[in-house]
Amino acid sequence: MKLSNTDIHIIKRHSNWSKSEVEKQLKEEVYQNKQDWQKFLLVFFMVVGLSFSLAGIIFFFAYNWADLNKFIKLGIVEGLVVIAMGLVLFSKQTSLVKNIILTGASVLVGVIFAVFGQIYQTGANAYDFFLAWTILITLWVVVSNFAPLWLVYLILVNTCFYLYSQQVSNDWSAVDLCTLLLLLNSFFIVLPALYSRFIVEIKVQRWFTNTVALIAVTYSTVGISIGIFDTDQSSLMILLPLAGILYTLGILLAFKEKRLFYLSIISFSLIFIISCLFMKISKDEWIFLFTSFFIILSITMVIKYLVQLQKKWSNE
Amino acid sequence: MNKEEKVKEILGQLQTKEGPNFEFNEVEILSEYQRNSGEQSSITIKILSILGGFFATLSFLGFLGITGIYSSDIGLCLFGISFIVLAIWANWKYDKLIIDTASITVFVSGFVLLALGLSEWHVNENEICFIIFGIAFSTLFFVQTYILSFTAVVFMSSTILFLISSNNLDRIVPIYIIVTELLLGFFILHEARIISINVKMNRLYNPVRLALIISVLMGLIYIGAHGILNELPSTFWIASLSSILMVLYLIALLLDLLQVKDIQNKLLFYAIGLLLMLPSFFSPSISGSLLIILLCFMVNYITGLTIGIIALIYFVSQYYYDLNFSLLIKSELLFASGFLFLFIYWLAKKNFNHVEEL
Repeated sequence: MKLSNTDIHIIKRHSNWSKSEVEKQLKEEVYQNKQDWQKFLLVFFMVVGLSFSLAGIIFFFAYNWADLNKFIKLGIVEGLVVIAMGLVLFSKQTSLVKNIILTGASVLVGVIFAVFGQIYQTGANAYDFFLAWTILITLWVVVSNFAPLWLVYLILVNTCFYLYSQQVSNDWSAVDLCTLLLLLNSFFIVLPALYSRFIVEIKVQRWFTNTVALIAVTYSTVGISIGIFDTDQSSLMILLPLAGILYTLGILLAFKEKRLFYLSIISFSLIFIISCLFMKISKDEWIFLFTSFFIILSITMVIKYLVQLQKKWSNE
Repeated sequence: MNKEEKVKEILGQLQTKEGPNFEFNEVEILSEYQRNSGEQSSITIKILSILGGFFATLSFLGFLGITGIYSSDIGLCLFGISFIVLAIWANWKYDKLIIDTASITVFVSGFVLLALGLSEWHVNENEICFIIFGIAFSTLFFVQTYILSFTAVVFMSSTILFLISSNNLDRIVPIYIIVTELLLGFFILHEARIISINVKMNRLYNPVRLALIISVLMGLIYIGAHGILNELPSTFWIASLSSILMVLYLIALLLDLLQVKDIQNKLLFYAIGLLLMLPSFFSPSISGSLLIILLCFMVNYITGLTIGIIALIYFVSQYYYDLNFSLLIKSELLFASGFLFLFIYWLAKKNFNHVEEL
């Protein structure tokens, strides 16, 4: 177990440890060494290089060169996808490099559809293109199981549903949309958890599930808050029980996997929703003062509890 | 081995290494460690208190706004000052995470009340800024708890930016950027020296470091983000130049760490650094965020690194989006730089000998 810089600060606070020794300890325990830097630089150059090239490709097609034949246009992008897949399948690169290339290829698939939409004048933001894009890369996403690619996928799925609600089903309220997106994003947490529980243990990176959880909880919080102030509350009747079930699952999962983050965002969401409820119930000015005290007290209690929990977990 | 045992072991090693001159208070160290063990780590909990404090403050100010309490200038000032004093006292008396939400609410509301009171009293804007800056600065002498010190430093840099903006002095924003960048660089590169000055500086180190990153970022956003300034102030190059020079200085430190000895390779590194930054000379925000990234990675500071990466992605995208070329030329530019980076990657991969499997 490595020391953090705070640990070193604490020792220094209560000793006459010399400055040079503190410096040495920081370098050994906290700072990055030669290998870390080499790794960092390599990943940095590769990711920046690939993103710039990809952006170049996207800008190139956005320019919509009229002289360029449509077969050549589509051919170029498809050729690039084939080359990328060739590299992924047959080259001797490490899996990190291959995964990054695969992520690039997944973005290129989207470019294919954009070019297609451009040629046939169907509009580049039609939801069916996003849907097709999402479906086509699904296999790559699952096989590579690379968290950044999953994140791209998640954004795509969300965009799909958003565009669908805008372009096709115009009668959805904001609360309905939030309900749907909450459900959808929760799948990305619940399914891997179920899969790990019943089939095969899979490792999902924490930052990924944390991001997904944050997105899901944001949708439910925003949805319920809008619903509270809405005149028509029929949509809330679906969102509320759903959020209740998912929050309960989230709390259970948090205790099972020792995730303070889930507990923090769920409790913050609840406090926010209850505060909205106060403001809805009364229009009196004192309700603002009351809400202010309520937030301070409840957050303080939550933090007190989380700190205790963290101590308990770190001692186990 | 848990951390407590590790701390004990380190203390033992230190004693043998430094000899009888090394004195420490093991009871204090372990008790502070125990007190902090649950508290120090989680950035989540800190964000939770800040968010809670933010909404509680909003709601409280809403209450004041509706009741119309702020017709009395002296009343407001007195309330403001007593709120600030209350927050400082509470933090001085109890150094505990659980009072964070309450103290940040009281502290921030105190400043807002004081500012409102002073402006009701017809004190001019600049003087109000100086007063707030002064109070925030002196807070640091009284308490060194994380949230309060962090808020105080962010207040200090916000008042400076506010002064710049309200006096139409946009051309000196680059100076603000240089000063905050230099302070941040000094803080990060001289950690051992700063935490050794005295106990107060030692405690202030972490909150001030994060606050300095936010302060640099505020300057970069002010100068670089959409909708704030109509055009870059003519003095923007000062900020670009200083960021670039600082990054080159970091490269020099890095060469030392990577044990690059021969002059040819050293020049190659500097050339790559310049090549990376020169195209973005007209956007000081890009080199500024690159500086944050390198500094934070160097000392393994993940929160800062994440902030830097998000800032870099934002500023680079905006830069190319705004660029006044046709899409075809933009595409060629991007493609060329993309290939260049991949070429550098290939070069680096060949030259870094002992990189274990990536």
